[in-house]
Amino acid sequence: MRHTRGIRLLTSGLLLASLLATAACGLSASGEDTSGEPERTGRIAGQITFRTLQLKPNFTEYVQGVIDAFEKEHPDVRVKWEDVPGEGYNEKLVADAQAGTLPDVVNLNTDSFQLLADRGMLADVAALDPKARADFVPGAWDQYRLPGRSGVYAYPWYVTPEILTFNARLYRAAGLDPDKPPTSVEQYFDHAERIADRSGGRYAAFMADPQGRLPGDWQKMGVPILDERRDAFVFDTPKAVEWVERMRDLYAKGAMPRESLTGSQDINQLYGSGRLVFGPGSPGFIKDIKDNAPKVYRETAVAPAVTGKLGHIGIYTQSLGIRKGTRHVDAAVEFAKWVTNGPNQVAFSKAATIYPSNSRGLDDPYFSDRGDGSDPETVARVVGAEQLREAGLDANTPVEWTNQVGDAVNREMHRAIKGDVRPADAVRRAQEAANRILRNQRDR
Amino acid sequence: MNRTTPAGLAGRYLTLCLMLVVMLGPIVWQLLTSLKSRQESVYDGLLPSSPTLENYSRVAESFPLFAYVGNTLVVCALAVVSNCLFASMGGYALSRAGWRGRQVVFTVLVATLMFPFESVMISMFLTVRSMGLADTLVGVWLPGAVSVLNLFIMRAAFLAVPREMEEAAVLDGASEWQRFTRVFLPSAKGALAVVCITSFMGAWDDFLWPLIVLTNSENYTLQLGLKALSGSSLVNDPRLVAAGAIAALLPMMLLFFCLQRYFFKGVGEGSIKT
Repeated sequence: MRHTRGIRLLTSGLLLASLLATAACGLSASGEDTSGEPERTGRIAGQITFRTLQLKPNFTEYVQGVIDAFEKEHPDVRVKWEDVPGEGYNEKLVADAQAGTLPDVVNLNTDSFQLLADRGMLADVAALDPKARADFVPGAWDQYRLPGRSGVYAYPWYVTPEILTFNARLYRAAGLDPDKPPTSVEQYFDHAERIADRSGGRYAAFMADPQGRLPGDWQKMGVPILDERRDAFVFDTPKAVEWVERMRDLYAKGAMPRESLTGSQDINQLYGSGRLVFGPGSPGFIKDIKDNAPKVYRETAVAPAVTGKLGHIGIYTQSLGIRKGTRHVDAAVEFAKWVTNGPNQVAFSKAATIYPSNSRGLDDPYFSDRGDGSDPETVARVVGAEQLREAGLDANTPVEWTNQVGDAVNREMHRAIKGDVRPADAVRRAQEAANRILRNQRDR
Repeated sequence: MNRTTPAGLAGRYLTLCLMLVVMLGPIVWQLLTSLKSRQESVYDGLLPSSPTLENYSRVAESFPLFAYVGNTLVVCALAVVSNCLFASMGGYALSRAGWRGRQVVFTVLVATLMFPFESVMISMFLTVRSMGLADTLVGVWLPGAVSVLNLFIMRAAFLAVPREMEEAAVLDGASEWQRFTRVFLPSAKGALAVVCITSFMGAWDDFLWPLIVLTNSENYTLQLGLKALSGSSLVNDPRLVAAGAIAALLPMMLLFFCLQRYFFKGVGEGSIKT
């Protein structure tokens, strides 16, 4: 999950920057009215549009069912559902925001939330619906606050927690005990080293691309990312340098596939053909493997994610935002609440490999039944749910760590891992670049 | 002609075969993946152990493949007709008729090629929307109704027609329109085929623009439908994606085979006429 997110961010970052630049100058004729928060009228009626991120055709039945039930409950409301593929999703949102045609209720992921919320396109749901907070897992709700502003700008929807997946057969072959998977980043590296020593080049431990690993790994090693006032990056520490050194040494040893540094290799393909020990850390991935590589699925083991000093995972939910200029506030709020309520989220989790952000949903026995403990998919569900209950925002990527910062840091890390630059220099330069970007953003 | 040694010949064929593998490899791989059954691993081995067409029927079931192909074909047909018509008329005007400033017009047109699509996308969307064409196939087609590149190709083809031929036609009493349809167009048949294929391909492959314009999935073009199959973070079935991609490829290949005679002629056009 985090891996694919990284790639998408990388490719869309530049494009969006240029898009917004051109959008900013001129052509605001039909732009959104962003003044003032909408107010509730108490009348739940009208036609609202609802946009989802790539849920057709796989979950058409589920989503339509939720809509139909809502319309039955509120006969004066018509919900028009549109589903948009994930690729190009942000570009379409930007175009719609410019044209004033944003949907009333819109499905957002972490980066599209930033995109709309930063520009003041979303309504404050905490003001519209003060009681909603109690329904969600701690952290999920707070994820949608904005720095320097009061208010919460989206309803948390489904989640995919981070877990650890690995090929137990290969793990054993490397002389490691599948019942004692790593719990800290340092251990993870130790195990990877062991795997590299024993594999004879036939398989690797994990993917080299640092994009998805940072700043998470540093946080788990106790490296502070920002200073207390959150106005400068301070990750240039001996621990961070140690991380780079170990990555460099492991890369040289063959613990990671050569080409994986640039992210051009498909992790599913490598793991699914038994050439990689650690798979991507999401429960959805387990289902992929079950469907696409039955043999490797039987060898797959699941454990809680490596959390190191933090002791818990971060939380990244999909969310439902409400357009600030919506004409039918009540209908939009009620609908967003409906989609994200406990029963509807649990039903969704049963149709897809996702988790409810709604705490009442997470209490469903479906998320605590381990079965006989041998089926990876069932175990993954329980492990994921357990971790989710304790998830905390401090393990999330800080909002200051934007795509631009991530790319800048990543560039330095690439060079250091390849061995072209000394790790200490790379970390220092990464911090300088990150601070430059942060200052520019603050000045604007 | 120089003589080829057997070794040289073998080398040529070897290089050609290598190219063939490089070019066809990914397509063959997709084809084989699309034939793999759900019981076997997608990632192991190249050949499907129990080949099945099941994935194709699943594609047809899980999303309205034919409706999407139909929408795409509408856009393609409009694009091909409008491009052939306007590119040849425009190309003629820019190449022959002696009017002032045509060089300036041409330069300005070519200069617009420098703007990346992304930078004009939003203003284009606002324009199309204000014309009431948002979420329509006409809106998808309109900005690409005639491409500068095609104008460029047609202009080059017309420039290659010998002046003597045109003068002969004038002496025979042919009007401007007659010269255009009877003399110029027939001698630029190849270039026209190129315009035809490139505009078809452009409309067939386009993703971002249709995505921006269309919102209702009933109006989706094939590329949008295919993207909905792949790239989902919740479901990942390479077999299904491969089957969809292969199904999407077929119409393109058919068109190419039908037109390839003209296509190759068009590429070499403007060189020497015999």
